[in-house]
Amino acid sequence: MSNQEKSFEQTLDELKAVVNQLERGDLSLEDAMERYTNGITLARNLNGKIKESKLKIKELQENNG
Amino acid sequence: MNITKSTVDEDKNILTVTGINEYLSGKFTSDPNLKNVTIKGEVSNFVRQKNSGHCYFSLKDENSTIRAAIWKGNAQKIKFDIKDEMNLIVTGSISVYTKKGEYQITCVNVVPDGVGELALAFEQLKEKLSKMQYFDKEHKKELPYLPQNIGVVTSPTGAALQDILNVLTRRYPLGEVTIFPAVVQGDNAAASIVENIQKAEAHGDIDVLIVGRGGGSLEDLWAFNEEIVATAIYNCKIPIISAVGHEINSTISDFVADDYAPTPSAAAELVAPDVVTLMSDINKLQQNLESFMRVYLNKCEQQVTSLSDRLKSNSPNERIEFASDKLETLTKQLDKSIDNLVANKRQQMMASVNTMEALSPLKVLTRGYSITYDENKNIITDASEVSSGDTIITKFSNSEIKSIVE
Repeated sequence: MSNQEKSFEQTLDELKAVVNQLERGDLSLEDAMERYTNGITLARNLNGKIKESKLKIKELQENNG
Repeated sequence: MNITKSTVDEDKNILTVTGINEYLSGKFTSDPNLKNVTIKGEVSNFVRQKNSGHCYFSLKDENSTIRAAIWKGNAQKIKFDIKDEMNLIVTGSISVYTKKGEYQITCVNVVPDGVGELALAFEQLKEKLSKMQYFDKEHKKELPYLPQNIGVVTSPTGAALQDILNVLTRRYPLGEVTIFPAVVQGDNAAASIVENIQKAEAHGDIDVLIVGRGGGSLEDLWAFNEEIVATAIYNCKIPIISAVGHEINSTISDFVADDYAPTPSAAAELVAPDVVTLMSDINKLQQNLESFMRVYLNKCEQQVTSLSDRLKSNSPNERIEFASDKLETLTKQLDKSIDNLVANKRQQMMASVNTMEALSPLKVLTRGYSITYDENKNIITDASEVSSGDTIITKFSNSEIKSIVE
């Protein structure tokens, strides 16, 4: 499953899991780095989706007059 | 007495039963006062004969009683059901039923006493259908919110149809209207209305049906109070709005229908929303939608922001900084130890050099010795190596001289 196919909520849950793992602090540096990189990607995707949605709403409102 | 010979016993001047009854029958029929008599009284012992369809009963008041009959043809014309204890006004002729020697009034017109005939029929049918639960709410179908095809069962030439079309054109131009032309007044009206309700149902695409007509007298609207119309409305699978007459008229159809309007115009307003209202409703919904999405997106954004913050505060950065500091310290230690090592080695080397220097030939020169070379820098160790006239070089500790051998 690629990131695009995942729902916003699924991605959000994944990000929560990543943060929780990192907050437990029992990971090796390599693992922590991997999780962190993944987390940043997830957060970026989520922000992207929000921005996209906001833009779409604005567009729809403007088209509607 | 005017009695014919045949009915009389010739010897004793005695009458037969048939004879006297026939004589009396003749008397009754010839009396103009007994033709077209109108009597009022209370019904008792009412019987409608199943096979013949004729009706028989008695009319009575406090002191007296008279037999009455209604032949089938006249009985069918009566809108209401005759029942015992009902007060009737009947018109007919009084005649003798010779077989039984009874006289009776043969009614040609029967109306209820006190209330109108139609009013009574209306009340009777209303009560009957009410008992059959035709008016119950559970049987009412919901009207569609936005009907695509509106059927109208009414007179194609009546004002009702024009009213309905005018209202729908102005308020709800989104729907199609299909007209099922019916006779709405007179003897054929009920059957025609029933037929067109069934046609509308068979049509298949009708979402809602208006059944009605404009105002008129109770007689004009009577078809909408007939049981067959009520039954057709009750059985119709399409939701029906009954729209008969003006505000004051209420009909059995109104009670049976899924909804009813006081006038055909009102029915057209009831059948579909005003397009202006509809648009404002849509706008409101859109606004709700937009504000919902705004709130929803903000919530999403907050969640992501808070998670991002937590993620960043848990970044391996600190660990990297710590590792980096440690690395720096270790590197410094490493450098330092290498430097120390080199310095030691250098010291050792310097010691060796000093020893070596002490042993150097040059060091011997400082003590007053010298070295002699030829012109090619070959060291001369014996006088036999040079001849007279050769140039030799004598090197001292920090200078040299050139000489020519004699």
